[in-house]
Amino acid sequence: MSAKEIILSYMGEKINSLFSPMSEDYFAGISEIRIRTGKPLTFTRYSRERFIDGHGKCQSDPILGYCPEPKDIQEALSLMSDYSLYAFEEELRSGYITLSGGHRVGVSGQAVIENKALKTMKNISGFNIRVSHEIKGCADSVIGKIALPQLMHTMIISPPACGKTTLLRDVVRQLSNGVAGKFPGVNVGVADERSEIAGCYRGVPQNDVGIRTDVLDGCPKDEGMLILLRAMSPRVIAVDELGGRNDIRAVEDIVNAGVCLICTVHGRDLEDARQRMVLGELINRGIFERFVVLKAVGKIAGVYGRGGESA
Amino acid sequence: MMLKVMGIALVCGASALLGLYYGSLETFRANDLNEWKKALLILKSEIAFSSTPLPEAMFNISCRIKRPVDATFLTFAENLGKRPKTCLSDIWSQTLANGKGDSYLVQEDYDWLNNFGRTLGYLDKSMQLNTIDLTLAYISNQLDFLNEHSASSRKMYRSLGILGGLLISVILF
Repeated sequence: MSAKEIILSYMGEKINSLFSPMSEDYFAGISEIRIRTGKPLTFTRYSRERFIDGHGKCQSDPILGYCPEPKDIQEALSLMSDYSLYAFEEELRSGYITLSGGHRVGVSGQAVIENKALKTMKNISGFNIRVSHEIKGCADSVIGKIALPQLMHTMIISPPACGKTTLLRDVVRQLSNGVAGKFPGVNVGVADERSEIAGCYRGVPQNDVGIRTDVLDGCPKDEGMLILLRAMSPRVIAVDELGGRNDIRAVEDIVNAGVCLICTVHGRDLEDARQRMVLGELINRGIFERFVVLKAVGKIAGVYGRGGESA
Repeated sequence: MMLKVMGIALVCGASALLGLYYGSLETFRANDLNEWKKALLILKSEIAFSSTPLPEAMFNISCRIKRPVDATFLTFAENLGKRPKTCLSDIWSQTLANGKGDSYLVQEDYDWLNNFGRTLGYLDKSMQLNTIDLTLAYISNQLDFLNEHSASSRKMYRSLGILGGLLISVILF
């Protein structure tokens, strides 16, 4: 099934009818769809914001955009939750639902607090559908520098929405499958706290993360990395958006166990990452042997060694 | 004379069978209610312990209970599998209505089950479990009532059937 078919199968009748006339090719360029009650229906295509009117025509003026009704939101929520909102309480608590195909839906609404903690969400009023884009081969230019002559602890540094998770996914896939004539595949463990790397739907990865990859979906990163280390004996552990204080302990355990760590972090460049409290500590201790820095969507600014020299 | 005897036997037999049938209706209803109770208890554990989504939970239930209630759950699971855009409670009501012909439940039971269907799917876990408990309490009350009264009413319908047959025979012949 194409991304269009999958995403529209989760939409109510009205929104479905608006997007249906769109061609598959046009839809493939969409990275984000935002549905808010009473506000114009928006989508982002190649970094450009567009609106869709009541007849399914794309517009650049928000006034012409179709404004979804509460019924549209309710129908979509019902379909996204498989008619079972109770089964998605954990996801709602995290603020998102993962659809089949690995597409992620951010949810906004009214938080229900119990014992000073977020219990669930009610009166859902908006969705941000992030269309999953798997780009196989996007790590071709860096995989040799990460895996040869031996596997190296690697940090991918990138500003938000520049494709760091997409790059990490392809690195994981290539390490897991191996590259003919270069290196053999190894067991990879993925601690996928927010279901972004493997895009698991009911525990099954929807994205291609390789044949030797074990995914721990929805588990907090620090705990997930240690569980994978203890239980799955991986050669590589991959994790997205490292940076929490608890992550340091898990990273130490992984490195001490001789397992290779591949992670992503937010940052403009290596120097910016070095300024962060937790990340700076990790970088300055010389744990990481490779830094891959992204500067724009899919654009690699450089691959650096432990001391910041070009690799 | 022979024809009269045969006529009397036929009328008495048919009337007694009718009495037996009516006497057994409450037992049949109790059997159906028992199956519904079992189904809702399974649903409760599916929701409470494994947060199974409704389509899967309904299918699991249909595999573990007897006819005719299993058909209702299987049809509902199949309908949900088609990912309809219509309201869930409408699909539930429609499925219940389609299964009426094979069931011995009365209108009051259907009203409760329809009300239960209106709460399906859009509540959080604790509220969903509460609505199941509410429906289970109704079913338990009805089963208690039927257990107390079904023996006496079965006896009454059986006697009425036989006596009614004899009365008709006396009047006719």
